[in-house]
Amino acid sequence: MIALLHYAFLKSIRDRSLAVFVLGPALVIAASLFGATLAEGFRYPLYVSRQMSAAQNAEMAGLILTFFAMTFGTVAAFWVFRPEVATKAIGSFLMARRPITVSLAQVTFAAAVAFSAWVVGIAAIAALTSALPPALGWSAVAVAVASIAAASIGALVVTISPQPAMMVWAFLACTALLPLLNHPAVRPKLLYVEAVVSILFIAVSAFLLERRWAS
Amino acid sequence: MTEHAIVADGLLKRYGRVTALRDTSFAVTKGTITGFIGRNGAGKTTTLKIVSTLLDADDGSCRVLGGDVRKDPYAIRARIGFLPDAFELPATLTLREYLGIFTELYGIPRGDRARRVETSLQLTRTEELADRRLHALSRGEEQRVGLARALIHNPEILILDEPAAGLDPHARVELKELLRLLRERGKTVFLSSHVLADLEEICDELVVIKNGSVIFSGDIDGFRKQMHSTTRWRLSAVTRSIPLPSNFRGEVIESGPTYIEFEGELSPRERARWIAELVDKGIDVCELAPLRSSLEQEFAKAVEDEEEQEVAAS
Repeated sequence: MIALLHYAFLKSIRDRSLAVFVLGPALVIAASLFGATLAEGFRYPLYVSRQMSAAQNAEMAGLILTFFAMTFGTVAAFWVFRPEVATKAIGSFLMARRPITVSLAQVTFAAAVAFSAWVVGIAAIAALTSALPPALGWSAVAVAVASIAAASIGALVVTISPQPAMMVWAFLACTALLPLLNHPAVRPKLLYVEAVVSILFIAVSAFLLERRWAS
Repeated sequence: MTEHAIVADGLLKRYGRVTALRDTSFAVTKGTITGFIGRNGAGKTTTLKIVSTLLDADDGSCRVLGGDVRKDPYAIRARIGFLPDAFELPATLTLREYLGIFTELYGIPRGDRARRVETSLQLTRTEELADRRLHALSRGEEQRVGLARALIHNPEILILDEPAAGLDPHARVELKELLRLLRERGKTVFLSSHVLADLEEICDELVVIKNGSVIFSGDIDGFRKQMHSTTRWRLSAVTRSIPLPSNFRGEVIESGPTYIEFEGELSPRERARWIAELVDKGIDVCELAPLRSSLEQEFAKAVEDEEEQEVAAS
């Protein structure tokens, strides 16, 4: 799996997609904070809403960040081996490694990207709003599990069809996840659901990967 | 006893209502270059995919290096190098990085990786591409890179689907040289190709497939014997017309003032007698020799013969 992670890392560094995936969510948050603040004249710390405290603004920004980090994670999983799946070049990996290893590498890479994007975004929020979102430790665990689930969605979707338009499904799945992530009563249950979804989707994507190559 | 690298027995493969392979059986001898020929849609790629463990046959069995492709696909994959008919290379990686990743993927020990990459580069003559990114390569260069990747783990069998497709004559010569070199090193090469002249030059054995069934499997001379029941001969002489011998039993196919081409059986004794007869008549004989038809002609004939038999049977 290390070899496949090495391949994904090298490829995404060279085509600059890694920078976009990791920095993208932080840039979105920064842009929205600047936009909301500038609308009423610039001042520091930045905010989403003037009526809210710095901590509340950080919490709101953290929620938006989580959504974008998950979405970018899904897109990263979809994107990283998309050309290989589309052209069946993925077959050269499958000659050397089992399909489940390829799918796991794909999900691990994308989940790491999503989590890194979230960490960078939190740092940006702290710097711009002068506050941190609450329950950061718990959020980090939830985001780590959600990153894997989001990445497994991307991995599954690309094996169903590598057409770029399929990313819409990934986006919709993340949109559905967002309110759940923010609901305190649902959070612990959601972790289990996400874990099951991840295992299932990784297994199905590995199966489809082998089938797609043979077709 | 001949050792076989690949043995396919009674393979059947259906895609919905279409039967791609029916009772396909053949064997590939270890250490040989075996050509796999057939028209488009004859079942070549399906067969190669089954042999490479990518596709399951609906019936029949296939053994590669003694292992069953259905029961032990991953162990077989580790011992074969497969080059599909079309493949894409990661444009942003250099060839050295790309091959290095495959040494990791195949679990080659860290200390051996650089040496293995160098060996692969040298074998495929891609050293000059080693530190170039894999974009804007010519078709010939791409094929060589694909071969370098297929060889990186030192496989015992190379399975190549149309490796000569789109190659210029120079690249084809290089490919043939490489395949000969691999045979010298004890590798088995099983390749499909439409360039029959090339196969004729390098192959020891041949598998001919038509409509999903193997119609011949064996050495090239055996194929000629099977397909060419009567030999075509050419007699040329310095004369204005060539008289036929009194007991001529052949069929004249083509003739001119100084030559005759005919089909028929001619024993060495009959040849000597005929030449003596012509010399007695004051005719200088330049040659009387069998014409060797090309593999392409033989293949076309084989396919036509099969079609005629099918029409007759129906």
